[in-house]
Amino acid sequence: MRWLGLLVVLGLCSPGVLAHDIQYRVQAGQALVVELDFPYGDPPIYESYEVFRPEESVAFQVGRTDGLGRVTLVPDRPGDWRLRVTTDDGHGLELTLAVDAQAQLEEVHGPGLPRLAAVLAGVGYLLGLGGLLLFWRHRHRAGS
Amino acid sequence: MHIPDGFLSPQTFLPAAALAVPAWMYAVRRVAAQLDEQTIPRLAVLTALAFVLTTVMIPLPGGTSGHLLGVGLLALAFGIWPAFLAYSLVLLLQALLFGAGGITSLPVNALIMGLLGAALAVGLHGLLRRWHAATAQVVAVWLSVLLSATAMALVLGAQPLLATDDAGRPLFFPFTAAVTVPAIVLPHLLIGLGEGLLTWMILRMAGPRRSGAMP
Repeated sequence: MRWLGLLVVLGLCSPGVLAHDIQYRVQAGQALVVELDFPYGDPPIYESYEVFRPEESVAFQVGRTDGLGRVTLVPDRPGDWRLRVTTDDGHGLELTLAVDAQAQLEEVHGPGLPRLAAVLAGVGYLLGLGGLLLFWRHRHRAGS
Repeated sequence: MHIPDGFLSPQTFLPAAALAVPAWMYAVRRVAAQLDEQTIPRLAVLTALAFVLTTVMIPLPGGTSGHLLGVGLLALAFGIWPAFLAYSLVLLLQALLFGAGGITSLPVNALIMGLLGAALAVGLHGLLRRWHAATAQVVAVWLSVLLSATAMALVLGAQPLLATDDAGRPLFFPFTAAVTVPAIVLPHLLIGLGEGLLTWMILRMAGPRRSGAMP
C-alpha cells in the first residue's frame, strides 16, 4: 500500500500529467491597435473580425472587437495585413495595414473620404449630373 | 443595409450582375425616352436627397445602426425605372465615396433595394391608395423597406451555405439567416416606418408637381 501511494505521488509530479495544461509567458511589446466606431460615435463592441497575413487567404487571427470597439494586432512579418470587421446585420469594414520589417505601421488603406466631404461630393455629383442631363435634353430637343 | 465588398460569394454576385446589367440598360432607355426639362431637375434633387438620407446613421437598440433608404420616395415620385436607375447611382456613390456597399456587391444592392424596393413601393401604393392616399404612401414605403430588408437578410444569410473552405468554414459572410433575419429585419420595422412618414411629408410638400411619375 505504501508503494502504491509513492507511485501516485511520483505520477502526479511527472511532466506528463501536466501535458494538457497551457503554459504562458507575458511579453510587454508593441501592437497595432485599430479603433473602430460607428458614424454616430459609438464603438462596435464585440463584433466579429478577421485578420489576414500578407498574401494569405486563411485568417491569421479571428475574434471579436473588445469592449471599446478595438482590434489589437501584433504583426510578425512585413507586408499588407488585411483586417475585416463584420457585424451580424451586414455592415462591415475592410482595412489594409501596410507594415514594415520592424512591425511598424507604414500606411493604412481604408474606404472613403471624410464623411462631410463625401456627402457634399455626392450631392455635387448628383446635381451636376442632373445639370448635364438637362443640357443634353435641351440640345437634343433644339436639334430635333 | 448596403452589403459591402467581400461579403458575397461569386455564386451570388455574378448571377446578380447578369440580371442587373440588362435591367440598367432597359432602365436607361426607358428613362431617357421619358425625361423632360421639368422632370430632370426634380429627379436630380430628390436623388441627392435620397443620397443624403442614406448617410444619416441612426443608432438603434442593441448597439447597431441603421439609415433611411430613400428609394420609396424616388419610386412614388418618379416610378420604378427612374427610381432604380437613380438609386443605383446613389449606391455607386456610396461605395466610391464612403466604402459603404461595394462594387462587386452593387448589382445585389441595386436589385434588392433599387429595383425590388421601388417595385414594391409602387405596387403596394397602387393597391392601397384607393383606401386612403396618405396612409397608402406610408404603408407602401414601410412594407417595401421591410421586404427589401428581408430579401437582403436572406441573401446574406445564404452565404455560409454557398461558399465554404475545406474545413466547412464560411469564406464570405459568416452568419446564417437565423442571425441575419432578426438582426436586419427588426431594426427596419422602425426605419421603414420613419421612412414612410418622411416620404409622405416630402411628397405632400412637393404637392401636385410630383405628377411626372413614370411607372
